[in-house]
Amino acid sequence: MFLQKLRNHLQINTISRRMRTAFMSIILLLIVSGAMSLFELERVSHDTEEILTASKTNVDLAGEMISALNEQNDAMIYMAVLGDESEGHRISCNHSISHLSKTTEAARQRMLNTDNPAATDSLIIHTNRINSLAKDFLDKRVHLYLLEESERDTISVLNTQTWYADEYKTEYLNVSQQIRKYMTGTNSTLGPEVNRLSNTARRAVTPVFISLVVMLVIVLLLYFFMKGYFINPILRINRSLGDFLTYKMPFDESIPSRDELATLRDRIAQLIAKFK
Amino acid sequence: MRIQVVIRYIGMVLQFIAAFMLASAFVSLINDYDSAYYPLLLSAFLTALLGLFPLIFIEKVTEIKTKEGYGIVVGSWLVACIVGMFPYLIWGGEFSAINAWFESVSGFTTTGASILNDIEFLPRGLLFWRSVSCWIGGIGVVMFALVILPSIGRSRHMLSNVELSTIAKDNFHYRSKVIIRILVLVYVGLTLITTIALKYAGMCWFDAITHAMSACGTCGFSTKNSSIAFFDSATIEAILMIAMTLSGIHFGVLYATLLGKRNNIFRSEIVRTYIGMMLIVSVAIAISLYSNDIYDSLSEAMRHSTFQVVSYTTTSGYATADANLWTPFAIVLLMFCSVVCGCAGSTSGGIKVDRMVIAAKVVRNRVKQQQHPNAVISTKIDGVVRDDGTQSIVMTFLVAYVMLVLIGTIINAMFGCDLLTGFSAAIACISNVGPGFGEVGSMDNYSELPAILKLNASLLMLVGRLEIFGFIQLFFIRSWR
Repeated sequence: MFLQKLRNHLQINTISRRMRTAFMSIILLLIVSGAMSLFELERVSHDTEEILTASKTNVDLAGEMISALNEQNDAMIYMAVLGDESEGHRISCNHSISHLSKTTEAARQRMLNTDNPAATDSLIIHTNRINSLAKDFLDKRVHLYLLEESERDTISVLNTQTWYADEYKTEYLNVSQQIRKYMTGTNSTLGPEVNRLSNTARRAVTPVFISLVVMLVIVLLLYFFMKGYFINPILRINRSLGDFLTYKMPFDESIPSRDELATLRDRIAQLIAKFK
Repeated sequence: MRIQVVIRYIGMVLQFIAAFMLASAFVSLINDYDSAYYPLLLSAFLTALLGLFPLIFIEKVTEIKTKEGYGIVVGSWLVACIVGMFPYLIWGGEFSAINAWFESVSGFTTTGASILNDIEFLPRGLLFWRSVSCWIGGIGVVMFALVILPSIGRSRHMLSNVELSTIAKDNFHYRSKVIIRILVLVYVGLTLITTIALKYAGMCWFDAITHAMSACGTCGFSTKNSSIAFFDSATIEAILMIAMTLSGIHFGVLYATLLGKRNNIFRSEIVRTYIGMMLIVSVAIAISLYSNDIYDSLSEAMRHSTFQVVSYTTTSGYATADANLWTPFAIVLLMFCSVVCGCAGSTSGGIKVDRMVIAAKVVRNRVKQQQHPNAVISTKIDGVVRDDGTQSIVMTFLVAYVMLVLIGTIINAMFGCDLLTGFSAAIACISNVGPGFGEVGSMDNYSELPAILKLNASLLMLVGRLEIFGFIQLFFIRSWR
């Protein structure tokens, strides 16, 4: 009994239920396609943000490496070329050594997760080399301070200028070149990410496009059904009733569905039969 | 023709397809929400909605006319191929609109040709959907829908009449309702047995299910780039060969064999011809391969030749070797297998052994008739006389098949295909085999073909699956009285 009632309740056999269900279907489709596109756009946005952040971090790291290298180079020029032994340059040099190590290590860690994890290997080697040159230089300077002042000047100035020009400057140029390579290299590693972004963008559009096509089909079907099941039967009933009233032609119209229109047709037929 | 009746039944078929999309989405779900989950879920929703919408308005119809039956069957195949594109298109990757259409048609028509360069990159949900599409296609979208979807009543008769060709129904001595049950029982049973056998032969459950569905649907979709060659297992190849061979036999005959009835596979002239043809061709190819030093041992040559012959004859298209590298003799024989194919009433495509046997007997009888003009000579298959009508239908089918292959080859050549590729692709598509030779060989794919040729190939697949006249009839439905 209950099941029968439930079944009757769920049956879509009245005009209002049919219309309601049809429009609910269209609304549901709109909501789902909207939600889907929002979801996909969110992914596009997330991917774009990831790429931009990655690019920015790479540029920042390269910038920090360059400034640390320049800071170290400046300190070396003062100490090795000009012979300025002030404590400030020593501190600056030590600071730049640790800063350069940290930034290159950070760059290495970032590249480990990419398609080319060995991209920073040369950079690391040259950075370690220039840092060890700088450290050795600082250590030797401490040793020189233990010598007599007259000896110190003649040994240090002549040797350090040559050392700077022959060893340090060469390594400085190598590191600069490696940092430039790192900057251009990281841009190329973003290529797959950009491709993924392009695919995601296409995927964001496709569900909406397909939903729109489906919706177009459904709207066309709705038009076809409304015409076939509601408009045409009403027009036919009207015409048939008019023919009966004007020419006394028999009222006999077939209705394609068993809803209120069929009841209307039956009732009109009953009414006509009553007045015959 | 009542168009609303056609729309209602196509709607029911769509709901059925939506259920399988949902099952594929479930496979994605249990595989850690792989990237095919949302595409499959959305596709299932859209397909279900498209299918349900007509049911809101159109009321149940118990009687359908032949014309409407054709409309429903052909319409269902076309619409199934269209909605089958949705998961591929939404997922993206290598699937452009044309590629998605090609893959979907290839699946539903059980052709098994692919445009994918890297199949293994596809998420499991999508791989499962690929296999499901060919499994549904194997037995016919409408056939499946008739069994699963309730309350169709007397219209079953008309739809099964349209879906099964006259020859295919020959071995069924039952009512339409029983025929459909037999078809599905044999199909599902065979798939289950193959799945279990493949699992115990060393495949994982996922590969076992997908390969079993694909083998029983005689489709040939694999989850691996190198097809069955990936597994390099004689046991797996043997199981698949048995599954493909059985799927290429009339399901009514298989059912009768299981029940111990008279019209079983051992007594059937058609089955004997089918098995005999495969054996002879396999041996001939093996000898050719061995004598040309393509394989070191005869047993290895026999192993590969048998698998390829079974695969091509049953229109599956699985591969364990690159047949492109074989001798011209082997290639021609494999092409012959692609033309003849399996038995009527099976999931295979092509001309079918039944038609070839009838055609051969018609030719023989014609020669006899010329020798003895007054003799009354009848054409018999398994002791049953085939009337002139059946003979005429068979000969017309052969002519139409040859004409379509030629037209397909001309179109392929027109857009830059070499003769071997164009001709073999036309045969492979209309016979629903999948791999051809040349650029579309068993270890290659159709990705390099221009878009227009992909469309041409998919059209040939549909024409072949609908047994040529089923498809052509659709265009003349308005003039049909």
